[in-house]
Amino acid sequence: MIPERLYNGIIWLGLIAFGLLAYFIDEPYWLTLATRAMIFAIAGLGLNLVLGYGGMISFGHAAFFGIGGYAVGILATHAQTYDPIFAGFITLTGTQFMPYTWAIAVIAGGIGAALIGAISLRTQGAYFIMITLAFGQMFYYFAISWPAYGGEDGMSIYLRGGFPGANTLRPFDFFWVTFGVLTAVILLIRTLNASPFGLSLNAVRQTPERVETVGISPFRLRMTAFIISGMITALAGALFADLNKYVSPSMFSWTISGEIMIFVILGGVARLMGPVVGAIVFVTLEELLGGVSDHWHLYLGILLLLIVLFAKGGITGALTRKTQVQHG
Amino acid sequence: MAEPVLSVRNISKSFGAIHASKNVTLDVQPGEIHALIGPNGAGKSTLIKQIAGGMKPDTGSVHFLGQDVTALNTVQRARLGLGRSFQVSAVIPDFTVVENITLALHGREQSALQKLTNAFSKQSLIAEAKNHATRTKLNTRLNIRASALAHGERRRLEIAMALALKPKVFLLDEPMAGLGNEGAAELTTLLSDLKREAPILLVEHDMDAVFALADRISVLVYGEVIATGTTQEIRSNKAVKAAYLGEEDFA
Amino acid sequence: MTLLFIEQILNGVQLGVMLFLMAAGLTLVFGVMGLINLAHGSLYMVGAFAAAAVAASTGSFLLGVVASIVAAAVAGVLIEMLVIRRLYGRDHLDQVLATFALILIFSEGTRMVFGSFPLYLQIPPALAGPITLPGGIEYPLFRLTLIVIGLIVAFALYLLITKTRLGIQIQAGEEDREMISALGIDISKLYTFVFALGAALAGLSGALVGTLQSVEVGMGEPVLITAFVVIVIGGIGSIQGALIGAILVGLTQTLGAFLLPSLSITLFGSPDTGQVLSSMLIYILMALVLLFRPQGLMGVKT
Repeated sequence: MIPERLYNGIIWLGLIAFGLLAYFIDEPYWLTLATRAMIFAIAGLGLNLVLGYGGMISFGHAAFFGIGGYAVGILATHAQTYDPIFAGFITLTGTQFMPYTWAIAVIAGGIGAALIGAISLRTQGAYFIMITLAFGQMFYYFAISWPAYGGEDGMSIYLRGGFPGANTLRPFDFFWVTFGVLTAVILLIRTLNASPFGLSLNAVRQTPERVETVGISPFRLRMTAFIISGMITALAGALFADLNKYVSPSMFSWTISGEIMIFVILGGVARLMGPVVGAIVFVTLEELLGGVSDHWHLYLGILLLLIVLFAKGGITGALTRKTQVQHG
Repeated sequence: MAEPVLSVRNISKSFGAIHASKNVTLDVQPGEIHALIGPNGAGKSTLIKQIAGGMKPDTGSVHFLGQDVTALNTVQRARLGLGRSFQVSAVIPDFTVVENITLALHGREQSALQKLTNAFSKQSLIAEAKNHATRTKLNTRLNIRASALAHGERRRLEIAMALALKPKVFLLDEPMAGLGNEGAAELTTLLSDLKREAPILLVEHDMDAVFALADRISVLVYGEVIATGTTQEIRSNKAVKAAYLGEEDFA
Repeated sequence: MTLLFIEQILNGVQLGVMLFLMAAGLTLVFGVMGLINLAHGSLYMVGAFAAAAVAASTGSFLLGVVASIVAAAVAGVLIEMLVIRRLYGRDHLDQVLATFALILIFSEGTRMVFGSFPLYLQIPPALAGPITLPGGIEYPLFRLTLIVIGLIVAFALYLLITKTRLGIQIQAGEEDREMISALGIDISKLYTFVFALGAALAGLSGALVGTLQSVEVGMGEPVLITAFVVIVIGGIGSIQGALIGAILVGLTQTLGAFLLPSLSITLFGSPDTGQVLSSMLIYILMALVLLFRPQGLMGVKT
């Protein structure tokens, strides 16, 4: 058992070391795998904010992942055809400039989360789970039946988006761009969690009636967390679209929601680096087991079942002791 | 009489055929402890909920500091200065004593959705939190999680969190519940001290405490206030005696 | 147009009663045991595969249907005793994760046994072809049979719950979990039975719907999610609500897909908008119900 802060630092430095190692022994595939893991980690960090800290069991985060991906896909398609998205009192054109596509993806994810949240956050418990799952599925069918942007076939992005000072087509560069985003998101989550907002969110998970009586609205807390969470997961979807140079309705599929949840559970619920560790373990298992057997989902299912029944706290819970902060 | 801080006017609430509150009128004057007593099932919890904002009355109104707050929810009433404690401790189990009190302070300061600074970085806030802990004799337990506190300590943490809100009125729902004699006596001292800060509406089962503390008492039976008066008046009230017939703890 | 419209209404009812078979089990299990079961779709799939395998080897559709009920019930009893039982006291997150894990295991297990290619169930000759209904409407006999089966099951379920000793126990379980142990009922047996009953209904519906469509891995989850929409609309825990919600969702889905594209052609000159809207219609219906009645149509306000 090691202190959680040390553990967090080791994970973060480990990613840097892995990136450098893969570069120097010239394994671009490893870099791409690690990039995939980091993107999943970002999606998981988003979910962990509502699921881990806020106690809201969203089974619909694929909606935000897909929204982020489609934002990038749509912007890229228009950029490639020079056909404006919207021409009128203002003209919106496509773009493949990453900071810009990320911003659009994040805004779209936030709007999606506000809409889903406005309805689902009026309910709790089993209702909330079912409703988020249903709305996620709604977006899936929406993407399938929307012929303008590929329908069932999705959209190809012929060229990965660009980032100033980096050649994103090189796995090494895209790894660092993604690492930078991941680090920023980790810092954001850490800041949020340590703030009065985080304190209240953690409180509302445990005793909402107390939070009400001290004059803080649980609904507003949950809504704020849900929107930020949707934004972060949409950002992951945006990166995922650029990683694969392809988006399809499967990004909205309920299995993606389940997988994002698995990243959080494997790594450790409500632990800062839990989703990061969970995503790394997930991608590693997928690569190792998926290479040996076509049926790696079977092993994943068994592993998940064993963790839920016998090892709550996930990997982080097993390896660390929670840092007990002394205030004053 | 001065303008009451809190006044409940002709509140009625029924669930199907059950009349949980029947035309209840009651007020809390500045500087007083007004105790609400009544046998089990008299409708005390329902009344508390309607005062705190968790439940809307069918008819009647609740006024707080001269303002009609009937349409306001719990959060809005808390912000106006209604400091409530719960019958069954509703502190945050995974939080330490300081963290629990700090949460209440952030509620009062309305910083939860406004500031991204560290929740514990402001020294004056932490000092205040410790101050409230000291007043409720929790100063040696600052970094203990609420779930690890003894029952009596958790009751006092409830009070500390209400204190931290600097409320205009305290609404204390059976603060003595489950305390031993010694604990109840300690809390009695604390409450009599508390009333100098804000008047208290005290819902309580412990009759010793009620008669020691209360300036006025209202008796609730089957959803109805059957009597309101000083401790002396209530002691000699026939209707009250009849209602409590057989209940041993009525002194 | 009118005949076509009536046919679509019948299709909607047919979809509705099949959804009811799924939703009834889900809502019973939630109402009695407080469990949210994502693996309910897997039991639907198990039923469909069992029916397809048995019908193919014996040549009897009826035996296939019986097999679907038996196989799903047996699978239900097995997972109840091995896994689900440990989840009753746990929070919803654990329930969701463990039953999600069961989906992965069931789906991959089925793929190992049957492969990735879809299987097909043949409509038995006696039920093939159309039947002429009063009013001159030609309607597929098999679909009509599904409606009848669905209504019979709904009625049987109603009798079971209101008229039998077991039903009273189930109702007691929904009202107050502590009461049933006070009544001296073996809770653990009751729970296993309720779970198996729900599983059998899911299996039956898998076999019947699988005959109309195809039998393949992953067929259960879209139906599961639609069944969630049904019970959110109807009110969680209410069988009556599940029936009303199921018919409502069935009609909305079918009529939306029928009417909206043509309406959209009239309005915008292209069916696209209508198609997009019709794919989202039941979720919009769910959102509307939640806005005006968060506890569902037949749910009790808490």
